[in-house]
Amino acid sequence: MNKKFWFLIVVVLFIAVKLPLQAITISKNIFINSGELVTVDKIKIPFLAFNPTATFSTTNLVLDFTTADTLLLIVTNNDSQTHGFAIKNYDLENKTIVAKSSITLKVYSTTEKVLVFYDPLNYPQNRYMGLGGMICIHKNLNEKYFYWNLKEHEVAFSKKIATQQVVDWQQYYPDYFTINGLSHPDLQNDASARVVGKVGETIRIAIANTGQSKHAIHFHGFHLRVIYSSTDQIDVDSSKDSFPLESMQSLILEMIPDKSGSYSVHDHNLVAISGGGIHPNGMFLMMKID
Amino acid sequence: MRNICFIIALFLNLANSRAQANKTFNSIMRTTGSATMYDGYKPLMYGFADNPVVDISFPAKTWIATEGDSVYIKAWNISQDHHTIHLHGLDVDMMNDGDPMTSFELDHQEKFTYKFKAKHAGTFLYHCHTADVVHVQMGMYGMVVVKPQDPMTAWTGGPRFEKEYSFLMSELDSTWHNKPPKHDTTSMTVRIPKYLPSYFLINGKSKQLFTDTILGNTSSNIYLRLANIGFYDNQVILPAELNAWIIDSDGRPLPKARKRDTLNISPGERYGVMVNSSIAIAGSIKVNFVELNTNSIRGYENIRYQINNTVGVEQTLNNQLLAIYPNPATDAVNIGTSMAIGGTVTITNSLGQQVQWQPIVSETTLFSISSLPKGLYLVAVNYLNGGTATKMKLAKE
Repeated sequence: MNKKFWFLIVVVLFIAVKLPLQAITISKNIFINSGELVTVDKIKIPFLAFNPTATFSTTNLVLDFTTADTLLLIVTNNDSQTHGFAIKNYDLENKTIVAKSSITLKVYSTTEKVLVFYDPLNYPQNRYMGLGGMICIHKNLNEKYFYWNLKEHEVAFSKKIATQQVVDWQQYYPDYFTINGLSHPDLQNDASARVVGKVGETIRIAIANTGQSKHAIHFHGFHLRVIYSSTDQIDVDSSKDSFPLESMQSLILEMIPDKSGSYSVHDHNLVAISGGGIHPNGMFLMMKID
Repeated sequence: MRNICFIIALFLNLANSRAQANKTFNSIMRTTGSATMYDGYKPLMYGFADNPVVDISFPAKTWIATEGDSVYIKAWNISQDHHTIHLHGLDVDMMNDGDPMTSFELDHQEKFTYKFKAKHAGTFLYHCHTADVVHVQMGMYGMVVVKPQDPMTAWTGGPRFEKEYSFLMSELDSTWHNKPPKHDTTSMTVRIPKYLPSYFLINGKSKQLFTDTILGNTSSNIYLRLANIGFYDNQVILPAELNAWIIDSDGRPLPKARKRDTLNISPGERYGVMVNSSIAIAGSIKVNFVELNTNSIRGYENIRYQINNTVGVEQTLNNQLLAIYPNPATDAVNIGTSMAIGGTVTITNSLGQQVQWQPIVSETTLFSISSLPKGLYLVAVNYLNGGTATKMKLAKE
């Protein structure tokens, strides 16, 4: 009787402990769309993006899930050209997706991180044209998260690449700098990018550089702790105010504000705060802490 | 009992308060300065001065405070432009942050005292944040060093060092200085030209004008504060013999010190590097200036170092350098000087008698000392203009 009772207790506890750890498969669709990015001064640039539907948007989809989940991803190429799909620093063979077809793949991670997914074909041109996004794997989805997909654009380069002309990357001099496809002042209206929080609150910021240039993001008012780093230049657990990110590198930062107010975040290559030669129409955000 | 506790608490409080002080710096904002580049070019510079009757310093003077200090910066804009002071990395509140988008800027003849508490020992920056891309390029920047209570440690409880040196990297594009872009003070915008710098600076100097040299002894810690206020990356090549460890960044200790032979410092970043060479050696730390869009090296500068055995190297009175190597020596010794060509080097024995002298015709003068008896000697550089260097010890074995 006693033995049976304890056996039952052990079985019940085992199930109780194990059940929540069972991986939940989350299915998401992602579409490769082509369209135009409208700059801060209303210039249209040919652009490609990974979107949640077949309708083009300049903002690449952020794929969110937790370390307890498995992501079942269906990637559909809605463009007229063949594209590819790959994930940086993830054990996955590069995939080719011909026009108007789809592929399916699974992604999971047992640790919190940001992965960069991109089009590896015609590298780096297709990725530069916009096909670079973030897979953000959280400990849990209740954390307050913001997402910054850093990019820069040279209009002449984008037009050449869109018409299959050759570009010389050693001559690259971008004239627009965006976060999630937007520049200041439009960027201040992007709720996924503009950090709004409270004193004492734990805020996390996932950053990926899907552009071609290196960007050095400087925070006013606060040091932030590094939770995840894909770059050897920045150590996990370090506390910094300036964070350089080379192309295709990613970070998760944690900020616990100790004071209220509005504080800037910007690229400290100060030229990157410009758009079309006008400063500060570039990579510049204002955080609001209450 | 209560009274004893009160007295102890009061004593501790007083002891603590003695370690904290008020530090005040003046910062006069001007737009009529100049600097001299290695080729004689004298660009128009904006910058900060200590008082209104002196020219700006380029880079601006380093503000040195101690951990726990209350720091006051008395800013006074006597230029016709708008300016601020951003205390980069010091995590100040919004009103003292110097960002005109979130606080305010100083118009002509306006004054403001910026305040902050120096909470963390480390290396920081300050710069104007009005039309920052222009005003930083024009020279409105400097370093802030917060030292721990024990100034010979990198941070409280951190590694000790015998000497420290600060190096602030930047670039200069003459196009911007010949015709500085003017910002619209209403819309707070400015149209900027392409950035194509041709001068790659450390502490505001390059090539033959940059003579700063790291001097130290074998098996002793030398702490380097490296900061980048330019718009390019700095790729710092640290020779293996220097045994360089990266120990802190952005005013905080790193979770783990890292031994590195190359350190990349991006715009706005600061790093603390501890070097400790076991051998006497002279050489240079190469700093490449890397353009961020193409990842290509556009310029470089060298920071010279001279590590000596036991008896070392001193800095001379008029800030020129004197290096002796090897030291101790038996047959011959190299006496390295900078900016002293035309002068003389003299060697004096312990009785004060001059035993050798030689004119300086190049940066390094070779002395034969084989005929000298063993013992300690004093070496001095006598400049052409009559100035005399601090005397240094030379050991003959």
